Amino acid sequence: MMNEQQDKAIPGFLNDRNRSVVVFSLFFSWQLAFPFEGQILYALAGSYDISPHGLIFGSITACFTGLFLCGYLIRNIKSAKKFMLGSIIFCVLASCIFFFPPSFLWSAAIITSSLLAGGSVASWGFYLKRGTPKSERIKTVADGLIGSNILMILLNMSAIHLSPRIGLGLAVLMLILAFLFALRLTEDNEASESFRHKQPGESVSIIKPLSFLCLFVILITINSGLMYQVLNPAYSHLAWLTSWYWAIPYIVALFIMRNLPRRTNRTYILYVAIAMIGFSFIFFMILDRSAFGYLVVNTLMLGACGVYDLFWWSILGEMLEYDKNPAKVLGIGLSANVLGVLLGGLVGNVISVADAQGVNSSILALGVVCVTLAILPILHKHLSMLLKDHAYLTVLSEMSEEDQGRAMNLFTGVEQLTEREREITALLIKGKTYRMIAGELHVSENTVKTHVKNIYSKFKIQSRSELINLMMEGRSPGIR
Amino acid sequence: MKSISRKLKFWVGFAALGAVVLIPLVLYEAGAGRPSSISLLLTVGTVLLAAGFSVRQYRRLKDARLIVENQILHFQPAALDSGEPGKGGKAMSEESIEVYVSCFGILIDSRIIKFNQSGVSLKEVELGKDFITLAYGTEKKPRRIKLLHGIIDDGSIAEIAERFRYETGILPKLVR
Repeated sequence: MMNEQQDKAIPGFLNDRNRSVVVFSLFFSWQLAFPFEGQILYALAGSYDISPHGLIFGSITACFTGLFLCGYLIRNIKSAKKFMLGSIIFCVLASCIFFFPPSFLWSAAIITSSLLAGGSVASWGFYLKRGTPKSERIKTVADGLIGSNILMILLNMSAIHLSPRIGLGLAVLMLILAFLFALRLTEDNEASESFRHKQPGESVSIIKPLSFLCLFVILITINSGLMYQVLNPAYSHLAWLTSWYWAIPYIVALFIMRNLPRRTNRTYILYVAIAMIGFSFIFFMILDRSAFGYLVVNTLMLGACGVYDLFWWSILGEMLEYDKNPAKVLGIGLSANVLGVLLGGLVGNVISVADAQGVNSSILALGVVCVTLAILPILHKHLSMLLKDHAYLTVLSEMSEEDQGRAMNLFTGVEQLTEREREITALLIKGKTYRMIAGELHVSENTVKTHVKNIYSKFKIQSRSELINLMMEGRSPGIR
Repeated sequence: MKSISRKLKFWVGFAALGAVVLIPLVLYEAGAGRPSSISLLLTVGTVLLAAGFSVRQYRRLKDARLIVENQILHFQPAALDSGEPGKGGKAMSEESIEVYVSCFGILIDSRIIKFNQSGVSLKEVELGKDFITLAYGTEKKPRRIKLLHGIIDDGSIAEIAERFRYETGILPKLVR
């Protein structure tokens, strides 16, 4: 029933999905252009000759907190909408403080608005889940990121080339428009209620794959943080170029990734992206600080960022399926992104104080790239397996015991297993770890692993998810 | 299994010794202006070789442990007695040869025969009161082994047969 609702195309451009994308784009553009290391903030601070670093650090930390905690407070789509509307109003008021000279209110405003902004972005998870089928979420996310970055470019350019206050005014306008569109978002709880009723048993825990994804994200985005601290300041004299070109490679990369055919192996693109990050730092060390140097370095770095951002945003989008609270999943996942930026920024800040040319920071960044390159294949393989296993285990856990038993009986391959192997297979498809299986059967973990290897070998498969797939399809496996 | 464990400790110790003693020696020589590529090569080669043997012994120990943990039949075909004959004192067996038969293979002292894993299958089992015969191997390399043990009662034979059936799917042939 829920899929039918999702698939039903509401006539006109402004169906629920597109409306939520517009809200996200408008709100996120404000965040990118202003509190989250935005050019408007830099320009405002510059106009008063104050250092924005304290404000930026406070803003990023608050954003991280907001993203992380949102899911624990916002439990349904109604609360999400109210929270988003309330946050937008607060952010408008907080932004207006920056029309006045700096005071302690600047710090208070930026920290509280960033906290609420983080929560709002996480709350958007409810609309991302509701408005788009799982397989299409990469496009919805890409549309949101592309829209917000295009608007961010316009805001940045107005702040730099016209005046910071005009940029700020336009950013506030974005918020007001976001508010108006958000008022029209539906808060229908029916779909989410029916989804809850369809789950007879407990859903499979998402903690392991989500934690793994967060680790992956933190590692990659440390380089983004370094970029903010090292690359951007080095080209600050090219404001006429950086104000608009900075996000162009990012948008192009998002557009390309969004429109790739589904069958494309995106794994290779990830490796290309990590190499692009590495080369960007190498070229940063080799080339001068001219416009050409900036074009090369920025294209490589931001192009890679576009690839990675869409990669984990889309995985998070798919993971929303496995938890009742999409705000929690999206919030925690994105908080890992922010944490990586924060860590990278802190490290870059410490090094760049004593390193005017940015050489040490680049070497450090290259070190991070090398480490990432070395562990990326392992991380990615493990992440893919976890997600695949998780996807299958969730499907199974939603079946009743009777249906599970029926599927097992129809699975002709089971006859080819020994009794011990059948015991282990039954526990495997319930999602138990090797350690748990060993405990239940009073054998060692090594014994379980050997039996599992034999089971996989008999069926000519390599993972638990393939085993479940065979079972669900009732196929006769290729027995040796 | 003890002998495998002893060998593992030996090779690990040797590799560690090589790393701790010889590498500083080579560095000292290099620092004193007498760099010797041959000694460096020998050192690195020795350490790597020892590390390689350690890994091999570790894998053998893992295989042995798997067999012992899943033993179906265990007996001692021989024990070395160091006590002096005729003196009436305690006969002390210093070493004994242990045999473990399990669903994953056979461990005869430090010799490991693997089956029901890594592409080697167990094909047939024959059980008698004082022997057990196992046919295993691949299609290209079939093997057969007959182990003689002490006389066991019918109840134990039935238990062993059931364990084999349960763990390997092979129903042993009982020979009277």
